Amino acid sequence: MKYPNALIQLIRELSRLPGVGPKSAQRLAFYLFAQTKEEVEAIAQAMLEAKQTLKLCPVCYNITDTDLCAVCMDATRDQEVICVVEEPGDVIAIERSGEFNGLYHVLHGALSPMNGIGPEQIKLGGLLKRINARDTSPTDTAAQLEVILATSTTVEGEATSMYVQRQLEPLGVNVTRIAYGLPVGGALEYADEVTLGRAIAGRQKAR
Amino acid sequence: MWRLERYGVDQSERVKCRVSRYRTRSGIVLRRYKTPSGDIILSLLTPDGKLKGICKAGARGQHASRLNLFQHLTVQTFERPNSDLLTLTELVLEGALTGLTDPAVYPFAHFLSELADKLYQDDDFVGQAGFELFSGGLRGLVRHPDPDRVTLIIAWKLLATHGLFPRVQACIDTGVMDDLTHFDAGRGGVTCSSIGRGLRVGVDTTDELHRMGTGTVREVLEHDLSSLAREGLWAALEAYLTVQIGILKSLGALRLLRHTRLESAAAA
Repeated sequence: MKYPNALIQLIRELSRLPGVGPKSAQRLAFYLFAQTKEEVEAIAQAMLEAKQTLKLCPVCYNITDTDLCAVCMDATRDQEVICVVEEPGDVIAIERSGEFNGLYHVLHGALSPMNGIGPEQIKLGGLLKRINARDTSPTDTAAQLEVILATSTTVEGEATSMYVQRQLEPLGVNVTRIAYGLPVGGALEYADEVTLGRAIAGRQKAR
Repeated sequence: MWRLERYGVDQSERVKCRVSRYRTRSGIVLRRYKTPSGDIILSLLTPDGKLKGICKAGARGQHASRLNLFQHLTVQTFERPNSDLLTLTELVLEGALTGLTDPAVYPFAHFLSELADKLYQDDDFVGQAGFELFSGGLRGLVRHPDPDRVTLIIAWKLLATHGLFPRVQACIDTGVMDDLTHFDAGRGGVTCSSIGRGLRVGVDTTDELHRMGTGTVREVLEHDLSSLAREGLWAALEAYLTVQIGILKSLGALRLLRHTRLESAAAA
């Protein structure tokens, strides 16, 4: 039996979403069909509204629906620390930890030349501009600033971190890298050799 | 089971068929792709050929640190029926070159990986020589003071192991062996100055190309190379790759890095 054209179109569009295969798309399409018109309209409206209102913060490139994102607008946050992350999702992850009260800078990717992502494709220019702008102000200097490199620990993330570090070095910024180590609550015997090796190499004085 | 018996396959053979769906292979990660659901798809270059496999929930699981570019892994693969991708069931890290993340060599490593990935199709026989050449190239990038030269040699040598090395002994039009000044990427060979077809690269470049075709990596590395010949070799390589295997995305970052290196060398 051939599906109606409208259903085929809906399945095709849904299967374009990341993580949704043809079978999941079919399930979602039947689910939407079973909903009331108002409920489907609410979903469609939410998608349209998100698309229309969401944009990137011009300072940190995080996702926002206002002129500046909530973090950049918050004057109570530590203005002397910028945490550099790869994706907007990483900001949420760090915020969930409750351990960081500084600012962010989202690169929107990591260096991957074989995928066509070079230094021009990530939002590094914005970070350099931010730091240079501080340097011209009489009260703020780059030397007071700490930049925490919180890119992922993949090869791409490490390379991006090293590249950013090299770019920031001439500006006299204090550049740090997030620590590597064991997951809290994890047993040592189940840790993989790379993580364990890095954890031992990056050991700290017992406090 | 009755079907297998009809074809003369006994019970013990049937068990053997099942077991053969699992294979253990060792190779270097050429490409890594993370799906939105946290699965990792890897392309590995092994002496038997290139393989593509998926590690379910690899980004979150115990194998996350092993599923990285340029790492040497031993993997157990499981071949699912009706699936193009092998499932990676067990992974052991054999070695990792952490120095490849250095911005001074990172684009070179990507270039070699992308080249190997494009050069070898799935299940193409690579051979121990091709595998050793690629892995030795990555090691050379970290250890040799001139990663630019290492990349150049390994790239041409990889083409040679795949049977794609250009004809450089004599002019492809006249057959003369002197005054070979041009490189014709389209026809895959050098031409003499009287014909002058293709890219003008100079005699030093064509001599070096000839050396690459006949000498070992060590012999070629030990030979002095003028900056003019080096640029000629890069220009010829870019043109040749574009014709033979298509545009490589990593060339953009590579050009940028080489430009920066040349500028800093000139300033020094």
